[in-house]
Amino acid sequence: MISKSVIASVLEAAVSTGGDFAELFIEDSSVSSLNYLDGQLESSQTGRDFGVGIRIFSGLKCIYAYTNSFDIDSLVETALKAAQAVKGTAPGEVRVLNNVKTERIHVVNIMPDSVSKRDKLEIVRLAYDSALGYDSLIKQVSSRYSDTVQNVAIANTEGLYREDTRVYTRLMVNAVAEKDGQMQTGSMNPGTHGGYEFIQGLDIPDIAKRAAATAVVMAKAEYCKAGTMPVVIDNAFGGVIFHEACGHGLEATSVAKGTSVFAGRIGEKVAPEVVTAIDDGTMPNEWGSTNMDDEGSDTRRNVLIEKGILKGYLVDRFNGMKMGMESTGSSRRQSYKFAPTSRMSNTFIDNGSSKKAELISSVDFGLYAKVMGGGSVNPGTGEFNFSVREGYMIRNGRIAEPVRGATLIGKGPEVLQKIDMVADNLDMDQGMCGSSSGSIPANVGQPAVRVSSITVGGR
Amino acid sequence: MKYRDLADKIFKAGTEAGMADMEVYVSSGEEFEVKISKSEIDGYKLADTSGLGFRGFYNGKIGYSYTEKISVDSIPYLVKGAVENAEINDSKDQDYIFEGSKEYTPVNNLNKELDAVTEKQKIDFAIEMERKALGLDPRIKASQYCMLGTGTYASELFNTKGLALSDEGNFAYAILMVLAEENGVYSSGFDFIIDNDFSKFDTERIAGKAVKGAIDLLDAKPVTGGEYEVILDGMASAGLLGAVSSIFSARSVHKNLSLLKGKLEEKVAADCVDLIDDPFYKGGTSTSSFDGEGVATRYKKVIDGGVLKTFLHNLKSAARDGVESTGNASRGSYKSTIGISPTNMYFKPGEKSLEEVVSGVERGLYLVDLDGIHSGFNPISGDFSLGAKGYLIEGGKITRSVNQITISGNYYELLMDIEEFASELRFGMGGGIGSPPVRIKKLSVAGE
Repeated sequence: MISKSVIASVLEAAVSTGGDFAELFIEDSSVSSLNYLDGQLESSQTGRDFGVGIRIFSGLKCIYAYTNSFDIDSLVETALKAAQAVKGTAPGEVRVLNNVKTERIHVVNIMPDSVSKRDKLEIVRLAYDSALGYDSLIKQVSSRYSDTVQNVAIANTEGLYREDTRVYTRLMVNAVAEKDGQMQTGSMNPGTHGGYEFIQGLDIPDIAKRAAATAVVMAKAEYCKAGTMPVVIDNAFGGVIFHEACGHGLEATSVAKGTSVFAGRIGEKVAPEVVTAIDDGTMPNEWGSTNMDDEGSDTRRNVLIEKGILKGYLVDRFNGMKMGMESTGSSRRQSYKFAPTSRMSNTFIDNGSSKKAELISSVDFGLYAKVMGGGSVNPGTGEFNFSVREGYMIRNGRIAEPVRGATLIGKGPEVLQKIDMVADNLDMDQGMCGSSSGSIPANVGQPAVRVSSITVGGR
Repeated sequence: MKYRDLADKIFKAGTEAGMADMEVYVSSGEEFEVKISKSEIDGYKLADTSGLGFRGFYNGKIGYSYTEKISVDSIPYLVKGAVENAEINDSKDQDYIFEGSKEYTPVNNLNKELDAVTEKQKIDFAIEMERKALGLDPRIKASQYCMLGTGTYASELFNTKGLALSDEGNFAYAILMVLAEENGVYSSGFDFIIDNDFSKFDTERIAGKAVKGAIDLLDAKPVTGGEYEVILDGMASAGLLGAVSSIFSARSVHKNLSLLKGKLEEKVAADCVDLIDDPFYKGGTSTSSFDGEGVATRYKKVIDGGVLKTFLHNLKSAARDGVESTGNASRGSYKSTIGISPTNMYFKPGEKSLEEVVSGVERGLYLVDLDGIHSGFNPISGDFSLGAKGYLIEGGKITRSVNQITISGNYYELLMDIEEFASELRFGMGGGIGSPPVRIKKLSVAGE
């Protein structure tokens, strides 16, 4: 993308005022998206994102600059400007760049940019028609297809030079059901770090119908009554609660600042023995995987919690320096516009030995959260609030009537302590995770779990 | 203009590929931002960015593409992308490349004096802002966010109908959020300023407001549930208006996403309500002489004396309704397709000060902060249920602070229940949307 001699000159400029370390992140991405709404193509876009991010460390200070320029003069000028924020003595050293080969764990058979827009249009139409035709209560559907091919090169003053290509392909279906003036939504958003073969392998009518089915069931449901009760949270997107309420607290970004409730607790019991939680950026073709992280380190399988014991954090280079810890291959960023920091990849609670049916039958009166919706977490206190997109009451050990408007309210670390049964049906779901280094693809996941007691908000 | 030649080359390549009318939009900018924590630089960012958006007709349909690599090498990519997107465009609405308005009202968004502010002054400002806040009250434990940023932007628009327009400006912002603690109870307070006149930046004022907000709420507690007369602070009201602003877009009306459909020239708000869309508002973050399609912008009252006078239009929606564009075509960035959005939109302030308005309330709430606007507000139905913080008013006076309550209602009903506006107009963080404090007859409150 940019020659090594140019990169070396830019790195030299970056440490010319005495910086300890400098790094270049060069990105050249192509993006394609189609959005189908209201029976016609709402928008379709093709674009190229291109830019360079320059990061300089000086002690525990981090300077970040980025530009869309690609000629040597502009890049050196940007690096020199950024270097002005460092007041060191002698210029830092720039080692000879050595290629590190990137092993392609995530095989891509059909590059999405080789597929015609017409074929992609047929996909969003099929999804649209299938969802709309599912039930007369479905009043509105939007279906969206997107792919991104992100080419990156990372080079630093320690002599690292490494390239990677990340390919993301995704379909998103959102259905709105309306009954008596009340609107309810359902959605399915399958995605991969992989090629168009993923879309070809999807049963699109089935996916669209599953989105529509949630909306229809909820449109017909009565409001959930508030109370404190046991809750069975089903697999896949159910993992969003662990992601938001615990996962972010295990990122070095918050651990290094000391604002995380998990800071300084390695080796302590933070969850019951049935809970093992993992962040694994190496899972083949999974949405949150990459061949290397955004600092050029290999991604890894990081055990966060093993049988209830806190084993480790997700660490990036900068926060690792503050904490005296090695990188765990967890440094990620949305694009060249963001300095990278520790982030999750594919984060999940691992399989237990119970059966989902046992979880349900163990509850006399409680809630079954089949599909979770969005929510928010206060990072300072761990307090969270998540909506249940598709929920049912459990009565006498059986799934009973559907309920709408249920929310789960609690504190992450406390709810983690109350997970007392874990099933064996682990599955993943795809989301975009937003934080200080931007919005990145991340998988959430879990098998069905039982939380012995949690506050359910309703009416 | 800087990108004239490149635009002509793109048009030439497009014509050779069989395209008809075309348009090029280029935006560029520079930004600086420093974050301070404990008097040290915690984050330091420099950015210099640009991007080019292209659209044009192919076989009667419009197609889009964009690039951040602005060079002649990108031309084949842009043309191929736009042609491919036009080929699959099955939209029934007509798109337009605009020949230009007769007249454009000049605006000035560039403050030369801002360029003279040095980096050291900016860093010192942020450090001083934090220092002042920490010094005001021992219960202020830390700054959660303390930053200062400045930037410049420029955009150019060209099309094959001969239109060539440009716009430039600069801006600065300072943001402070502080954390207070007393007896294990935490609360935070916040203030900010966005303006390109650095002489208006006052560390004392920002620190004072952020600290007061945090300290006042330390001993806040809920009120008993029920119906209350409510004064919403300007920022809180602007937040709600921003979340619901798409209901004034003709596109939302066409897609059945606005309950204002069919209500033109009807009463939709109380008599005292004037809702203004002013593209020439001085210091506004959406101040511009032309919109995303190159149409001249103009001042308008969307609501006048409580009566809905117009929807916001771009060329496409205006053609569908047989009216003229209101100059509200939006182009969020070179990556965006054309949409509709307000410019600087705000409720017209009243005559009385906030204090006078408060003095007229026998028993009610003055709410300064609303939580969950993006999850607890359904802009289609207008229903909202939001966490709120603020103060209790008894006998025309503020008597104590309030938190852990939720207010619920419906925005369409709220518009009808507005009693008066105070005089202090304030624009929100996102820019563009503003409101003075607004007194509302009643809202339902859930508390103790």
